[in-house]
Amino acid sequence: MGETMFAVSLAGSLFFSVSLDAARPRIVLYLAVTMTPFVVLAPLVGRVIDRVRGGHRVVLLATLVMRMVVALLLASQLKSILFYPEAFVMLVLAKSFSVSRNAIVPVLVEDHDYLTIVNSRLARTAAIAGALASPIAVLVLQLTDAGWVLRLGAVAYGLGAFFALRLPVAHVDPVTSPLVEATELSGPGVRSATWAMAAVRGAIGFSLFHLGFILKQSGEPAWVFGALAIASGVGGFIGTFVAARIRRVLSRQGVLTAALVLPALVGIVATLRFHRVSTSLFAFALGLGASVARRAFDGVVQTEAPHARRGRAYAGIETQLELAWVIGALLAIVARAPDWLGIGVLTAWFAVVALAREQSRRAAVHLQAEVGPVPLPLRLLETADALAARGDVNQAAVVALAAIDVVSPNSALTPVDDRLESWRRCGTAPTGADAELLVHFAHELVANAYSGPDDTDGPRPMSRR
Amino acid sequence: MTVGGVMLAGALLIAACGDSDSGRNQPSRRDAYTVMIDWLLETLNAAFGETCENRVVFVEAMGASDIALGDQVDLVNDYEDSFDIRFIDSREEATDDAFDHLPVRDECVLIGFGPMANGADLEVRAETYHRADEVSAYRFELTVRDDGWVIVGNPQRVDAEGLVIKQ
Repeated sequence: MGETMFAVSLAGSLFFSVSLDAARPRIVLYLAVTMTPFVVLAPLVGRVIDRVRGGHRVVLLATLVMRMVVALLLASQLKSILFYPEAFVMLVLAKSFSVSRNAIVPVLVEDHDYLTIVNSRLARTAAIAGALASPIAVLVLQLTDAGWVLRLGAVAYGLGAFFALRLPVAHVDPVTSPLVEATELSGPGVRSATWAMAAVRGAIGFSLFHLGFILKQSGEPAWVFGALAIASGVGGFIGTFVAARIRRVLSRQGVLTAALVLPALVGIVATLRFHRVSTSLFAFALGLGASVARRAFDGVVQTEAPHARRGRAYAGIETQLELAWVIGALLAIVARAPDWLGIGVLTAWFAVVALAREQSRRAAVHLQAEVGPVPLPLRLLETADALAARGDVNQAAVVALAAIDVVSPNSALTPVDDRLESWRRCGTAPTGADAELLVHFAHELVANAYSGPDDTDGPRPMSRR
Repeated sequence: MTVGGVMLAGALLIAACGDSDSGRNQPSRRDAYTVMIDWLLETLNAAFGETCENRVVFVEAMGASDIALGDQVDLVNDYEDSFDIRFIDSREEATDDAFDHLPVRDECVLIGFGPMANGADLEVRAETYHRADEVSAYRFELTVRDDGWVIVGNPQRVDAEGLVIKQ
């Protein structure tokens, strides 16, 4: 609700009164200056959530209280030169809130399988709250002025802060290693989904500023901005329902690709015939695509990173996504592209990312058909290598031991080192230099087990002892 | 937060420095614009009996001129109680292409200001636009008197150039 009030209050701000060419250097400056500390501080949000008792409450409470204070300040400075820095501080706080909320939800959801459902509910609730707040904000704007709309927004933020205090205690699984979480979150599936989601977030940042500038420069009345915001919100709301239906016929990654295709298709129409209706349709498609993409992204994370529960792990990803938004916004401000060209670039962007994802999927399917599914020991070895690369050799040794157990459950493969045999008998993985040695052994054993038919030399000797 | 605060303060300082006028002994440019806008709107009122009360007055920097952001903000606030001032980047912002002769939106006026030559006195071209076939242009001479800009004599009518739209 607070965000809707903030958006509506912009109608009575300096943004519509001064020349954008004159304001552009300041907009770039303030965007860069306010986002720089955000990039540094946002990853710390996750640490506060994880380490401080009740940290999730503290973080949400802090962002909401700060938004309330800045909204009150901005209410009396909408037509002052301080409008720009304060508006960007509001923007940064909104981003911080978004990072915090998205990092907190997986921590609070006890059953990880419900993550997508909970996120869908949150998105729907936000859309409904925004829809309810819109007419109230417009009415207050008509009866009073934009300052009072913001003061009402400050009340909404205050209420949000009150509810943040009532959040339940987080349930973090203390057994899961942070490195396991990090490894899962940096797997190819999650990485690819993060790139796609970043592409969507970047496009949203670009379109917000591009359309804002274009509509202002073409003399469109303020209600057109509202119509675009509503179209995008309706798209987002519908997306929370549509995503599940698309999921019935496509894989999660496929849903993510499909979410990119829709704005690309509508973008072609908006590029060729740029006017209010086509732009509203594009905003709708963008909102719908972003919502479907978010649901699919949550699903990918939920499936491929089942142990990722800590705020820190999520805060890193969310910061990357918000950074993509900022880069998109900066490009729109600096480029000053004509109306149709900006939409055309966005269309091409969506199309290229969707095509690249589809090509990558086909290559993966082709590769899998050629070599068959990747055996479990090889996947375990990959995980062990990833853990070792991250500096956790001890964890890597545990995973490597599991890989050895799979390829050689009864020591059938030779040669087997004495020490390896003793580690296996005891059921404990070594540490330090021995751990490195174990990973090395695992490589040799797995290589021997899966060596091709041309490899007629037999098992290679283990040289390191 | 400290880092953010320091950076924000730095940005504000830079931004504030960017607005400083080079000649501090002169009244601000904003005052010069105010004098000219008042004169143009009074002339408009006398000629057509129209006021821009509670409407939108569009302002464009013509040719190579630009109006500093700080001056724009001050002017917006100065006239807040009388009418909305909107500084535009493109003519489409002020004209309504749904009608012939491209009338100005909100039935008030579009004012164009040319560059202000530096010096003790100012010489400025200003034009008013109602629709494509109703453009008036003036050359203003301004000088400093009693710590403020005043118009010297009557502004001279000249041929319109900056706001002329070829249909």
